[in-house]
Amino acid sequence: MKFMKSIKVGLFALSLGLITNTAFSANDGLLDPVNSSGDFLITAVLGDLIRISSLDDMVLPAFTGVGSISNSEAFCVYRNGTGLYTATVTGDGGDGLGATFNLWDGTTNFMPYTVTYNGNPILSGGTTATLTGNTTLTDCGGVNVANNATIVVDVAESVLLASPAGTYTGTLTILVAPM
Amino acid sequence: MLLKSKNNYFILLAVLLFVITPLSHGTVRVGKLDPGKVVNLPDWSNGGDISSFVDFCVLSQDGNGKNAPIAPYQIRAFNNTIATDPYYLEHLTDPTQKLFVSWEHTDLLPAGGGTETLTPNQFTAQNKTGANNRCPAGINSRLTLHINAADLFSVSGGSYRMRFVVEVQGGTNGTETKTGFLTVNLTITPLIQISGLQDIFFPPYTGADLVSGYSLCVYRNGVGTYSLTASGSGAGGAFTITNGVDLLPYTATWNDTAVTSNIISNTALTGRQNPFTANPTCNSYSANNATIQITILATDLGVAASGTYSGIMTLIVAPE
Repeated sequence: MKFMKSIKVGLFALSLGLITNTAFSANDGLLDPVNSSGDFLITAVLGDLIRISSLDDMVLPAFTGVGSISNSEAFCVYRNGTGLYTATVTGDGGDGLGATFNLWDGTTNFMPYTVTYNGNPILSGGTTATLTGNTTLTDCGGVNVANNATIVVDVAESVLLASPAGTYTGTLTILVAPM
Repeated sequence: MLLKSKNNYFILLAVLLFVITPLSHGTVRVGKLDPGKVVNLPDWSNGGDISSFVDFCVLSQDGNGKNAPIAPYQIRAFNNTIATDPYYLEHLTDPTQKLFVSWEHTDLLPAGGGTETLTPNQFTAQNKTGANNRCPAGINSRLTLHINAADLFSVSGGSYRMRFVVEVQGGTNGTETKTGFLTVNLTITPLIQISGLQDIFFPPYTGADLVSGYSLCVYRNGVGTYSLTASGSGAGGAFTITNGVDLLPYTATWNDTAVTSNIISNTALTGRQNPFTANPTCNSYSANNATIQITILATDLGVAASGTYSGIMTLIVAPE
């Protein structure tokens, strides 16, 4: 299984109401015998920022004839300020033509799978409840150092038993957005 | 009898010659410039050009007596040091500091020769209108001193003086001369100015430190260093900007074209070098001599809430 990394930078929240010195402009000092004092305004606009990182491709274990097969992937979500975000998880139908949680063997065979995000089931195209990401480190301290989100992919036993042998792949996209 | 003696005859002739000779010449005088006049100009601080004049009577007549015909005259002026030097006032304690000035002469009489700029030690090219009978029409001559602001800005503060020699040439046949003196005193106040300040608007944060700055001008008249003291609009002058709720710290550096130094809020950076001394705007900011740079670290930006952060930085320069 292949994951697509996604980073989204939110629109700048130009909270103009918070600007206290919008009318200010720099002032030169006066010519003076003792000293001369001038001043200027410093402004930095810090928009909402969010990032997902440390995503890895996932290989499901081989099916041995009994039980489902599953694997998990931990990753990092950074979001400045409040840390609040949501994630939207979407499959590609396996063949890249759809938007469902399917794996595809390259011919005519598909295997649907299920997904949980931080332990909560989610449908393809679904969005999580509001979650909290890392607010201080855009990569949570490094690749796979302090991941704060986990996605689990599971293919049911009944699906596996009904599918021809082969190698099945698909792409899962996780889109995170600031809240 | 006195004339009975040949010797006595010669004595009488000599006396007559002594008496008659002066009466056959005209008269030239320079009024109140003889023996001299002192002009104390107001202290100059941040004004513009200086222009000051002295009116006086130049008496120039062909022969003696109050009804003698008026004779034209020429006038010249020069420094009491080296006559051919350009006109200047000299710093009282630092003779290398010369404040260049110019003189012009105006013939004040209606039919006079107008205004003429003087050249050191050279008589005016135009004939001026003299006067007889102690200038019954009043003054007839004006010397005007001009000092450009650009020259005033370019010299050190302090006291300046020059004694100018004023000489007129006129009278009968225009060959008689008379000399007067005009002493000019001026005090220039020590001055300093910081200008060319600009607001800073950082580009959006994308994960790297935000760094921005600009060059500006520090002027002071005369030789010497200056100090820089900066403060932010945070508590106690801290270098912070705010979105109204949260604070973002920043750092600042000052480069005086000799060295780059970190600025600590409310702590004077002394010994700053290379102040501009020619004019207060560093040649219209084409020759700025200092750079301020502001940095907001990514480690601070990364943990800050979104919003628009702003604050004011104040820079104070003082001569040392």
